[in-house]
Amino acid sequence: MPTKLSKNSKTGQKKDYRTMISEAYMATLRREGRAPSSTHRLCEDLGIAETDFYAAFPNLNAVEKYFWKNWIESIIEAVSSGKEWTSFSAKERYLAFLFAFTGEALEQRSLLEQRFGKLTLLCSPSSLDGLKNSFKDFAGDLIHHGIEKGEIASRGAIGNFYPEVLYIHWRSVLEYFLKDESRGFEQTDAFVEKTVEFAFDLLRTQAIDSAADLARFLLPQIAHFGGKS
Amino acid sequence: MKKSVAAREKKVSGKTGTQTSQESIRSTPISRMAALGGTGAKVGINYLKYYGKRALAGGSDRSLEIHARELDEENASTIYDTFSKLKGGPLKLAQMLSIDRNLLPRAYADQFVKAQYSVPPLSYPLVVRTFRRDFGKEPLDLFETFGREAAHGASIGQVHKASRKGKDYAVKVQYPGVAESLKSDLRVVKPIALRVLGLRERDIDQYFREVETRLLEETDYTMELERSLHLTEASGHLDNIRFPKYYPEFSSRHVLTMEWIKGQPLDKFADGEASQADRDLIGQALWDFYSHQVHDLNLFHADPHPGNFLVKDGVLCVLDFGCTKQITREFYRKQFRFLDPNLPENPQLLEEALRDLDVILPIDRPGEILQIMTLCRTWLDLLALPFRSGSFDFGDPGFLKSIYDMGEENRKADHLRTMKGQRGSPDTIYVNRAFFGLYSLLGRLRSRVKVSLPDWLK
Repeated sequence: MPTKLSKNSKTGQKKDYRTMISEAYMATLRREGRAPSSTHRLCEDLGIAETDFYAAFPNLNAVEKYFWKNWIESIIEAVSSGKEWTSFSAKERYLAFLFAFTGEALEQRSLLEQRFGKLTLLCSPSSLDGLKNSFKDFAGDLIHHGIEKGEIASRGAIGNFYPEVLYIHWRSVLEYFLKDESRGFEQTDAFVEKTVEFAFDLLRTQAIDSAADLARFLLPQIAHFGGKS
Repeated sequence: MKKSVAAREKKVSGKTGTQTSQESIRSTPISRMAALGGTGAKVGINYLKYYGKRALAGGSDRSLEIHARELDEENASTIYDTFSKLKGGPLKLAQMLSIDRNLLPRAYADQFVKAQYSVPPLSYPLVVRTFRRDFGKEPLDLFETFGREAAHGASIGQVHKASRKGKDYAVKVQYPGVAESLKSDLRVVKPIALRVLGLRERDIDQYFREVETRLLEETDYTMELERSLHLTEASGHLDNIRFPKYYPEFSSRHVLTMEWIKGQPLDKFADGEASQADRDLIGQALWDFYSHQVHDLNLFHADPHPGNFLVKDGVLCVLDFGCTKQITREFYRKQFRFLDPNLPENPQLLEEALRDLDVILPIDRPGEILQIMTLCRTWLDLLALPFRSGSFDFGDPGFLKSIYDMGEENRKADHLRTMKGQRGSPDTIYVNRAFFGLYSLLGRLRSRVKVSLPDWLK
């Protein structure tokens, strides 16, 4: 990338600084197991002025946010431009995305281990905000597509949580992948296949409604009995 | 022919009736090695139990259906019972583990196997993923059309229909990680089976390993491709039999591509309106194919069930070489020596043959040896019958029924409980599985087959 730098226009330069900085940042994370300690240090290593850095990013955290967001978006972009995408059902789209993801994740495995290896499933640091938002946009479109095709039952307010649920599912796939010890991480593919099958079975039927109804019925009572004891 | 089968039946049932002889057989720990050295016989009996009974039911589809249901229900209700009774049957474990594809009545198989080995259908994105993983390309990069839905299931995956340059292909795709889940399933099943069946691990270890090896081989499409190419080439000269072409360029560890053959499944052909001449023709092709593999190649298709064969224009097509078994020449000689017509009449030779195969062990006392030999003779009279007269009518229901009854009789006997030493060779499992499968297929086909002994036994 740096060779291109001198040739580019000012806006282009800014963009390439972003790429260059995020690559250097991730390289440090990958190599040393931690993010660069300061902006100053990063700029020194890269041989750029701090003003160039701040023209590209407001702070170090934003660099990482940018990287992950870009990463997930490139996967979504690649998979949704596939030949058969438009004819896919919501389930097939989600599966296609996850399999594209497990394919890509192979290339970034050590980085993913650094960043996600120690995170619990529900813990989402701010550096992942961009990724999460992009994912949820994608998931929202997916759900919408599924509801339109009658593949997913529409449930008003509950439905708003679907993208969040899929996000947690995606994180569980990632966690499974990081712990997978099978040859070529084949078991992750099986995990994806089976969990998505199950999830869409739930989304299709009234199971969630019944569960919500049951919870509404039971929760006050549990609280009641809990208070007593 | 009819006469000899009838006579045989009489002899068998006569034996059952003789209380003293049955008692003595029962009390002998080693008489469980009833068949030609063992384990596989039991495995085979279950082929017969399902396919054989179907063949016997004959007649309309309705009666077949009723029969199948009866069989299922009977088994479902007696399953626990059966298992607790079958203590001592290392055979049983092998059998249990080898019933990976509907060899047993469904209710039975459901309990123990379906949950373990059958796999749900692969979604199309997973098929794409598998292609990307193995070829770096998607199905539609390799083929002009590719069916998104599976055309039919395979034991550990499924078959898709694809086409390219005017040719149709059958593309078998394997479920990811199936070998590993099989291994872990077996690890889980083994101790449970040992406990339920009351077995000692060392007694069944070699059988267990044999079955495990074969099952794992089935998950290796690279090996299946090699074996398919080899067997296809080595059997190409046989009459009325053909094999699909295989395409190594479209095959990998998880994908196996072969020519798409349109034909009638063998069970449909057998249960349909085919003329006797056609039945004889197909039956003969099947018989010759097996004879050639076993006697000449010592490498054979060890899974003769109807789903692996198609009939097209009076030619038998062999589809699946997932389960093949290689035996050494040495073992082959030991095992098939039992076909020697002089053997049953000559106690010395028979004893020698049984010792060679470790069915009779040095620790056995004369009384036990005599019992084993008597039992073996009875089985031989029955199982080797097709080899005795130049041609044989498998359509005679008495034959399969006799084998079936004899197997049941053995299965129910309490003497299975205890035994000393490992007897017989694990190689026998699949030899017997192949022959019992073959007999029951031919029974279902009601074929008359010309049979000759291999040259070295003539």
